Amino acid sequence: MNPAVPANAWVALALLGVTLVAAFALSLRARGAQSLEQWSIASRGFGSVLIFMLMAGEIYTTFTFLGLSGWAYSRGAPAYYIIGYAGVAYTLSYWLLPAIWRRGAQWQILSQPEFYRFAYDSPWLGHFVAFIGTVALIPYLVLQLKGLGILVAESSYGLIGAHTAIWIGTVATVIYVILSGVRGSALTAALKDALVLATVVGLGIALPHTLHGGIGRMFDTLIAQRPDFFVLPERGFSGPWYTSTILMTVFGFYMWPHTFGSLFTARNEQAFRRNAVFMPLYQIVLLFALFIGFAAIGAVPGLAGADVDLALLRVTRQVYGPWVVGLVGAAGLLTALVPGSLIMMATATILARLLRALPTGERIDEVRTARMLVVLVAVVALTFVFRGGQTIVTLLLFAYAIVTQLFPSLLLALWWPRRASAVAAFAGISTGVGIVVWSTLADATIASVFPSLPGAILDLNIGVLALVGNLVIHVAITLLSPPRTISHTAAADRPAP
Amino acid sequence: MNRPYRLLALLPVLGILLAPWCANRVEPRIAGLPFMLAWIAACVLCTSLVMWYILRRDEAYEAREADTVPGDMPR
Repeated sequence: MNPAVPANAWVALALLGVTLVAAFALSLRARGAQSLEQWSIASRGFGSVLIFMLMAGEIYTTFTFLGLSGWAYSRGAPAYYIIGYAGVAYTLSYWLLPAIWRRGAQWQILSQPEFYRFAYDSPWLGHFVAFIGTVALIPYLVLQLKGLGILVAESSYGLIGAHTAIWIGTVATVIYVILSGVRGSALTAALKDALVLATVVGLGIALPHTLHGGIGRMFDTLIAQRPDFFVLPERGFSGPWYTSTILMTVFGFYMWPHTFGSLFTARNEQAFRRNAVFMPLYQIVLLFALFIGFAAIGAVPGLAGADVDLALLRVTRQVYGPWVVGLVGAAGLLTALVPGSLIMMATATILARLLRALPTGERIDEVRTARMLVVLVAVVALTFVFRGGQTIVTLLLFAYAIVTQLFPSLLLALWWPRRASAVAAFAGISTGVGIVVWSTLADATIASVFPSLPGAILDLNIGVLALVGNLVIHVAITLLSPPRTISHTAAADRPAP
Repeated sequence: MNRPYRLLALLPVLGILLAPWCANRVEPRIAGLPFMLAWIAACVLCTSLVMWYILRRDEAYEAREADTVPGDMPR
């Protein structure tokens, strides 16, 4: 259902273009990278305010902007998990992040693979973790690029086709990444957060008001029409699904290579404890994204399957003129550009380091190689975007199920260091990732393999099953291996940067 | 354990994780929101409050620890 195109529709696309140019300009201000460290992490110089902005920037992604409202529109109560997991994740972070940071400072490391390398005294485990991180990042990047394509196509009122829009979005992201490094992202992240906050809160209040006469009235109407929509069902996206999905998301939350790496940019561990206090408040703003999704239900009926991600933009187009659409699109553009660029940077950096670790790799200029690899990463992601078919939230849950498999070996490295066994870690992670990938390829769930189990267990998120298998294997092999003497002189042996 | 106040952190966490069994309903409506949504949002806000409280207590505890000389009597 395509609304008629108004005469000043070009305004929307123009606003997007202006925002893109502004983002490029901000990133150019941060030019002049020398070493890979400077380019990708800015060497541990950030204070807590910048850390806050950088980590907050990672909350507002295409997932929360388009995906969350899309799920609210199509599924109702199950979308609440996205509001809930924040409380659990930040509570965990208060204790988990300082522990990771302390090891990082002690070992003088800057990235996730190095952590595992030193914790398990095994360079090859570090490379393996890097590889798994990359595997998990690809679907995450795919969803960002998908979202970017949607934003450009919808803001153009359909004048730009979906495929062209995806190309435009991807090329813009690649240019943005190549122009800057993490410092550029921090500045654009601040702009992005201001804009997305204003947009989401504004729409979240205005849309229910315009379409229903207020948020309370909106719920009155919807509850009367579909009372079951706002509670979790008995089977399917049920209580066990909700709790297990939250747990899986929480355990995977800090396991993303770029998130993990950014931890080491903090000046001290206090920054994390303070973030644990304030970040949950930030998450409450996501309620407005839920309201937008609910408001769209009556106004834009008929979106189904992967198209539910269009809900926010379609309802905006329907109710407001091109100026608002452009503003919303600009906010959305940044929510896809900033995390998308972070992910591309992280993937390219990991791959550049992996190449350098090869026997013939010593002469490689890491920064130039990383920049070239960004293009390769973009192309690979694009092939998946064009194959299509998944909602943004589904893609993210898949990516989470993979990256969360790194959590058991992180925990065991922190709390069982004397028995740390690289072989056990490798076996555990492989088991977990294997279960996730197999279940996705075979389109299997716990139900299809063990149909006679009680309903509660059948609904559990497959990532949780994989996590259990992961932990069991890891612990079992650790117990079977002799205790190792970990070389703590590793930090002193490193060549000076 | 010498810092029992840290267990308070479990309260909002359990509230969120166990919501399907405590709060899986639509009535009563809180501020216009369906009950379950209001419950979860309230738990997330509580997380902030609880962590703030724990942070203050931790900072006080660590300041005292820093002033303690090994020969002091145990508290």
